[in-house]
Amino acid sequence: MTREQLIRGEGQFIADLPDADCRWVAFVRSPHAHARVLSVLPPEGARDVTLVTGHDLASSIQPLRVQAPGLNVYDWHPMHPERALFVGDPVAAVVADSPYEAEDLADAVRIEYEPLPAVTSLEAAAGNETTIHPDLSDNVLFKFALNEGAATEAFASADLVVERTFRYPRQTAVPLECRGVLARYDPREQRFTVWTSTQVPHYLRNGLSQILGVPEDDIRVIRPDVGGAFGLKAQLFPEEVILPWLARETGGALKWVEDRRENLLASVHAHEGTLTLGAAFDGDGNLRAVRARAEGDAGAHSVFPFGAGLDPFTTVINIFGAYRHEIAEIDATSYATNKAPAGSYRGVGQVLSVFAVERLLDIAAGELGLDPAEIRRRNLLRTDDFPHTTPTGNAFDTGNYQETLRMALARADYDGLRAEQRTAATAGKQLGVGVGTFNEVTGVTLYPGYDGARVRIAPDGTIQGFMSSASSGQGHAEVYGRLIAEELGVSRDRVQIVEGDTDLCPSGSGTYASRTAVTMGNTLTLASQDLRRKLLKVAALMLKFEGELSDARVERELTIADGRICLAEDPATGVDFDEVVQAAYLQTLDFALPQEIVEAGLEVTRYEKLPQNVFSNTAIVAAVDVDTETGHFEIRRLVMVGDCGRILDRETVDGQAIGGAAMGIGCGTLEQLAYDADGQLLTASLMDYLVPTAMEVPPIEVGHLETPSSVTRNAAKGMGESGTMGIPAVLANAVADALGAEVTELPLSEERIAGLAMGASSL
Amino acid sequence: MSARAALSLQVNGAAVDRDVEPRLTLADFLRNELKLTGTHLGCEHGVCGACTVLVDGEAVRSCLLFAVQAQGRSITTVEGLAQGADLHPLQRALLERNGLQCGFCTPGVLMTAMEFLENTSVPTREEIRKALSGTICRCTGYQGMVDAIAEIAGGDR
Ligand code: FES
Ligand code: FES
Repeated sequence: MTREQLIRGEGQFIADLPDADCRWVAFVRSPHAHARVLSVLPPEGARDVTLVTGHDLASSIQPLRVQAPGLNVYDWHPMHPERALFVGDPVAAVVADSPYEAEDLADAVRIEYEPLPAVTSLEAAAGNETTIHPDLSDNVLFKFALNEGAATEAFASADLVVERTFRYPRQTAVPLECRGVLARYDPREQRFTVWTSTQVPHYLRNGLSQILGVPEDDIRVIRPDVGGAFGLKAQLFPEEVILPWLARETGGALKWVEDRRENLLASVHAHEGTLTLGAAFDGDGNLRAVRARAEGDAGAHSVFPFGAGLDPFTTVINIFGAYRHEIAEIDATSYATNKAPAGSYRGVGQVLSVFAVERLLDIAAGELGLDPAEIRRRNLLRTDDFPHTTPTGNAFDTGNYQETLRMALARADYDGLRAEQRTAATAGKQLGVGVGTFNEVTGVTLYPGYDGARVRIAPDGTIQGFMSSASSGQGHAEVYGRLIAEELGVSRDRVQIVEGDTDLCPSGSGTYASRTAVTMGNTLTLASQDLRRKLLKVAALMLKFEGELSDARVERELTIADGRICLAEDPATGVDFDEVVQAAYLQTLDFALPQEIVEAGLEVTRYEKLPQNVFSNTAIVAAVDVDTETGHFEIRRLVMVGDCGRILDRETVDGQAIGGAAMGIGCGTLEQLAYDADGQLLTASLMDYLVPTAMEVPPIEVGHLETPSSVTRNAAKGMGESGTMGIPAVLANAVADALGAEVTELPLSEERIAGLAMGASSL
Repeated sequence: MSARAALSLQVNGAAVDRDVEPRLTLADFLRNELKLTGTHLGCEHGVCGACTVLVDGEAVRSCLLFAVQAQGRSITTVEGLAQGADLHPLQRALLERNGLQCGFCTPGVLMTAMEFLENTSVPTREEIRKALSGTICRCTGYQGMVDAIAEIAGGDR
């Protein structure tokens, strides 16, 4: 839907799709964190109830084995026949004529459980007294290490070593729209159609095909309007398997729309982990070597397609990425626990690495007697360091990190803030200033990391772009439409964008890891350029060019703009875009288009995977006023300067920057999922899991620098998660600065801050 | 199922008469019975504000009300804001000020702001932020919304 349709309330979100012929599914979910399921019986006295259990499902599907480097593989069942592994794990599903009746029915299903000991912490998982998956006796779902022992000598000979352990809380993305699925099975065509609120339609089709044991072509996945996703909707969920399967079994259309409690209990969680981070410096404060060990709480499962290593791997592979150093020794482990599975949430892994790195730099600066801005100036990569490869193997193309920092400091009047800190002291109120600089990995080339674009000009002149991505409200269509319009020299409103339909769109990765501008945009540019050359060649033939028509020649000798293709040297001579289109399709010319020069039709499909990830960079400065008694703080200034290469659409970039920053305020100050020792989720409503409202989000000042990427065709670098990953770190630095205390754990709740203030004043 | 109750009310200016289950929420009545799916459900427990509609001009969370409680009332939903092709000025301002991304919170934001603008002249940004604090948006960071409301209120003090 267009933005105008959305603002009229005409969006078609999953819950809004026509459902007159649908029956409704409700799930019975485990009240236990870990249990054996002994029996599942329909409601007392009920007849003709459609009730399905894990046994029913297991008898006709293939369990999925999520595979990726470092993952320990086991059988994933959408609904396990014998065991429940977390509170909220689906144990049975019922079908009824309305959602109200389906929920009544689900409440009345009788299930007998044998509770088992629950593993609810990393410590308990590593202690492995209780095993969660029989195949994995040590509860380790993922393990990765690089450069083992490489930093030992550098640490031993360093002038200064700082090392701390940082903890990041368990969080979840809370898209305002929960999940939902509508599934149909057409017995005549033997084909599934699955509408689902997802970021990854093609991955989903692939996963479903594996589990249901049918060819991918027999499954069509359609993504309707999506009401926010932020990573949460980038995995294959049990419900997305169970509904189509059940639609085939029952021979009708089925619908399920998640409620918020289910969303908080049983979608995916993220971010939780610890990072023990050490840094070795010389006497001038130059970073020499780093050592990072991350442990992630993956919850009950390794989810498809990314698997359980996602957060901790991303944490360590990107450690200290923005800073010069020669040696990095890293390892990451993910443990299974009896909590909801961990998946993705904006800022994947880097929320923890940026928090830890930026805190550690401030701690080191304190030891060295350096200003926090100065230790960053000394260590940030310099322009002539690029291209640069980090000791963990990340390759960066271009960057101007020092200038980004300078701009942020200047805009926030950093020196003025420091001066005020020295002079103006109010009892009980402390000004704190925090700085952070980091880069964001975007357009990730893993899993499998390519994108596909098909650009088509129809004989009537309609221009359409079919994309493998799947927007969830980021404003993709705007960016794509402009890219195509620019390449084809037409006005933006002639271009339609189609996303999120596996029957219409070429296959690819979907939308995650801020990949839209870089990898999807890159592929789209490729397809649009091919199509442009085709148009130019037809035009050249119409303009009676003689001799060989190479790509280079037509690009050189012709211009394409404002719906016309003209001679570069004589702009008065040219042909109209629409005439060219007609000629290409309808062969309206008085001569035949030579096939060896240009094939008939105006349609190009291209796939591409970038040779490397692309990194944007950001500098953030925050000033906060902390009430040392109550622990409450107000954000006085929040300045964020980002460099995402060439800006393709300013409004979209600003929207992502500010929206991501608001989420960062949530991650840094409010958001925390809490489980008790028995594995009961204590934060299963939005009264307990707090997200920022307009009151918690101050004006955010956004600045831009544009250092073109040399890897992407459109010179853009991805962005969109920087605020989320950077702001918790910078606010932590600002609060630590105000209190003269060490902050190693988030969120910055009033309780935590008041406690730190008390500790600091008693030192 | 349980006995049904007769319900008469006005929705976006039109009279509506239906028999409904007493436990049917106003939100589900609007969405499922009347197919006015612009009213969204983000939590169904009164926190997110996505389901906000006007009941006799007052912004109300339709997930917390039973349809039968709206007997005799006049309801305005997001579908009632635009006049045909012409968007309400607040809708236009929200579009122009980058006040939406996914659009899921937007109907609730619009209805909340409608009531606020009716009752407040020339609000400060602080007052606008407070008025919006009962509607959650996960996409935008709220700034565009505050700008749009300030613009419509005719002052940005
Ligand atoms: S759905 Fe009514 S307040 Fe959230
Ligand atoms: S625009 Fe997506 S929740 Fe507000």
